[in-house]
Amino acid sequence: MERDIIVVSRELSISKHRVNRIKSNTFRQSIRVFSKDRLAVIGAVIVLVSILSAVFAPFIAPYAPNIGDGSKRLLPIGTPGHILGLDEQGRDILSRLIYGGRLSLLSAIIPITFMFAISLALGLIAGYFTRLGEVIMRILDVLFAFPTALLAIAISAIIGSGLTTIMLSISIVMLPYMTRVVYTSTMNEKNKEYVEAAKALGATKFEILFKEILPNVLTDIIVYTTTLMGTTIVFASGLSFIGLGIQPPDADWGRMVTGGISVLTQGAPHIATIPGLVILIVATAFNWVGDGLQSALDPYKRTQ
Amino acid sequence: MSNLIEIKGLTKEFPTGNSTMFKKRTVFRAVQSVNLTIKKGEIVGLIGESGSGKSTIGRMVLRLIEPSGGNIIYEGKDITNLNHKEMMEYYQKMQIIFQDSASSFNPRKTIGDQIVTPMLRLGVAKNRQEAEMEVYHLLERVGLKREHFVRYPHEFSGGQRQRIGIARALALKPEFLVLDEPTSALDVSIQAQILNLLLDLQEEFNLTYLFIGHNLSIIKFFCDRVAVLYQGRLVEAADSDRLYTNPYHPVSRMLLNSVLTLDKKPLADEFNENTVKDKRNTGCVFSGKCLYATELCFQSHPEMVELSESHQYACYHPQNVIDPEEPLVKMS
Amino acid sequence: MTLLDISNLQVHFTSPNGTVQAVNGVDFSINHGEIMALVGESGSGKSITGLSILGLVPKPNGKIVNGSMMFNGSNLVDKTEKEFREIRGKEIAMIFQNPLTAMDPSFTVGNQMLEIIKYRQGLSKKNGLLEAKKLLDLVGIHDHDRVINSYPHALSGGMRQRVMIAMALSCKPKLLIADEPTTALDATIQMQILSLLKRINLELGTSILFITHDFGVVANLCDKVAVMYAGRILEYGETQEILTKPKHPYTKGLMNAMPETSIEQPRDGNGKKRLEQIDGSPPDLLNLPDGCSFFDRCNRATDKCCTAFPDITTKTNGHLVRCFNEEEVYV
Repeated sequence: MERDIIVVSRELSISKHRVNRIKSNTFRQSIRVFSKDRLAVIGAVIVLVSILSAVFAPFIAPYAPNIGDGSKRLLPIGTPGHILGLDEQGRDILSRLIYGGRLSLLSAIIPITFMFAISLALGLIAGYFTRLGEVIMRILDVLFAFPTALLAIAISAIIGSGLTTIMLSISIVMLPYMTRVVYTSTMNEKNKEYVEAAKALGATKFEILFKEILPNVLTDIIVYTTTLMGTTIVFASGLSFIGLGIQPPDADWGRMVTGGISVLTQGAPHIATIPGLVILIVATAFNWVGDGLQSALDPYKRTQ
Repeated sequence: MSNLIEIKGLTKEFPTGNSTMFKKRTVFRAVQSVNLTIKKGEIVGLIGESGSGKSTIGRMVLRLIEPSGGNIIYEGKDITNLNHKEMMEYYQKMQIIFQDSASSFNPRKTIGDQIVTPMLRLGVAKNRQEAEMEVYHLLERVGLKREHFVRYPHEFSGGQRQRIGIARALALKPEFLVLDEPTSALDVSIQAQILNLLLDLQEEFNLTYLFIGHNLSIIKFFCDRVAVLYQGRLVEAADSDRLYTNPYHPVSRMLLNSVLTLDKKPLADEFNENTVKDKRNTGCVFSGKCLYATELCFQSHPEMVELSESHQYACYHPQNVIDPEEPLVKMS
Repeated sequence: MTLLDISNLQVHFTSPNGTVQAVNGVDFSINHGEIMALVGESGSGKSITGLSILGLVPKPNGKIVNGSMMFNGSNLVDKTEKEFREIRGKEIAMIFQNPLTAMDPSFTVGNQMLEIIKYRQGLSKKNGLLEAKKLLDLVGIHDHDRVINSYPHALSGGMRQRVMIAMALSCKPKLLIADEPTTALDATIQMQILSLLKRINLELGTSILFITHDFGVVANLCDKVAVMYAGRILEYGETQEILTKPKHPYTKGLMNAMPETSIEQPRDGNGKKRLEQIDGSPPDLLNLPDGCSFFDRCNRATDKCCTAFPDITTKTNGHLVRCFNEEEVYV
């Protein structure tokens, strides 16, 4: 009977605690800071639109991307039925843009996302365990040294051109840069006093690494990653431009530019320029989002 | 009173420069052969200027810095070489309050979180709800509000953060606290609040303190016993009052003379302007600056002399023997 | 003879959250050859006061909005940046709390000293070096060559501060403003620096405005003292007078907060050792209360105290205080 009373009263105090518990509003604060940055919001909208249109391409695109009408080639912007005109093979540019977005975004987002996780783990371990870290960074230095285009060519020589080649090349090329950002960040944090305090509070090495240091390193790498998205889209486009990536008739934005270059002098500049502009806009949008995230994740800004 | 902590022959060397094939690695001796005993319920002060090694000793007791030599004995058990798992029991019993409250907290976690996590980790609380309730109580005990639980460290003033640091240490229900210059970075009026709070808590929870500082009058006020350090060596240890009235070691005298009180005094200094460097490096650590240094002082470092059970000093020419009756400084 | 006369100085900072009244009506004067202390904690406005004298209030947020500072017959408040360049270092010099950050880490000490000497006195390099060595002697550094060829980080804290003082004195200014120059130094080194400043005051007749929070320093070095809180001076007068008979509860509280300057024995009602503490924390300078800014922390406060800020009352010996409920007469 006594034990029941004790249990019940404990349950009561815990449930009273649940009601009286002070809630943290970190998430709401982050959203508020992010939305204050107008460029970040615009960037987020652009990125969202690009991703959604890529996902829902079959439902949005007015025409099939690879079917061309030879009689309508090189028609300019504003041609009835084809808002952005037609390309050098009479294909609707808007549709190709939408479908091309799938390939461009995919070839950037997938490798970067994978490398985000790998570079985070690798950089944290390399930064915290000094001797192991030196070995890891020396190995990565080898990758640093590779000229990126040559690497892509070498890979395509083995497995042929295509989306996989692009994604693999990007992964290998970006890994050392991303790891280094995490590495330097970790080295800075591990000497700070709160790490020492965590040790005094009984934290194990891994607890310190993943529960104390990681949150402080995350901002740097998240921001760096968003800027890399832009770079990667351009890079992937570049690889397609020189013929290593997507093969015709499929096209990502880079390929579209390639196709348009040949007819630049024939009075149809829109064919190359439009996809080029889109690459620029989307890359910039990612950068803006990165800046906004940097502020949103900063505890100082959140509480102003 | 039993001994809670015994420090025996504690030494710490830091490597400086790089070793090559031809040149042996040089070392910087931060702490050399320090012996200190802290009884249960005592407040012991560690005083020294910059470079005396006092902070290093404080951290070595908690094994935040690994000693190069010597032993740390907690309630009779030698904890110097325990592994992490064995140390968990002692992390709960010994805690530390840092000087810089800003940098000793993770900027990206709420302060409540930072107190709750170690409570769960060290088994002080059974579950999260229990821990949180205890933290609310603690925050109020140290003079804050329970709403502060979800705030971040930078949202607080220096004095408030130091209170949070005290709450974090107390949450683990420790027996022993190292206070590493807990008020040096605070405004004077806030210092008094924090020192008074620490004294209240010491009585309430029967804690034992090791107070590390550089202000002799604060240490004399706060501590029962004081140990004086100079460049890594313990040069004198005595009860607070006695050190103030009857210091034997020239370093203690020098520190006492540097205390500026309301009584005006001639602003002279009692040691050599320019340090005399002796290549042998085996003598007393203070010999280079000491006005009373002789050849013996440069030759070898003096052994500790036991004047009484509570008063020890290490000097060949203690200065109080000249006139043992006359106190050096008026007791305030 | 009055060297510097500050009257109703007000310095405001604009911030996104409102106006910070950092200095809110400060009056004091320094005579030739006098050492005056400006005592306060962080947020009191003492450092900003020092900076205003040399026109160094951080722009664009900070601005002197009112008041006058008469120096050598002209008002410093009206001076242009160009005019200040003639005053800084020459007539009025300043030394700071952290000499490491005040000096350029990429140049040797000798280089930096010569730069000032050559700019101000137009000497050749050879003569400039001789002058530099004389200055180092003045501040008690006799190891000339080593110090002149060292970089700032290679010197100890005390040495660095002495070099700073040497550089500040290179043109024999009439007034030296010292902003907490010894706070970051060991107590023994602090003694040396204070003794050096005292010697300079006696030998060169340089007036000193010493900004600090330590009454022990005030007692041993300064002739006059002004206690600042939340941008205003609460008490002002001769050191001996103020330290033996502090009338303002804040002054008394601040003195009692440090064991070495405690007027009473640090003990509480039960005989246990406790420092007399001032509860609460400094006010928010964005929202200063209507009445006395010390009201919410004062143990002698009455209803009158939150209605208006007390006027200046003059006690004997030029002892000025602003309080409705001054401390009782001391025995």
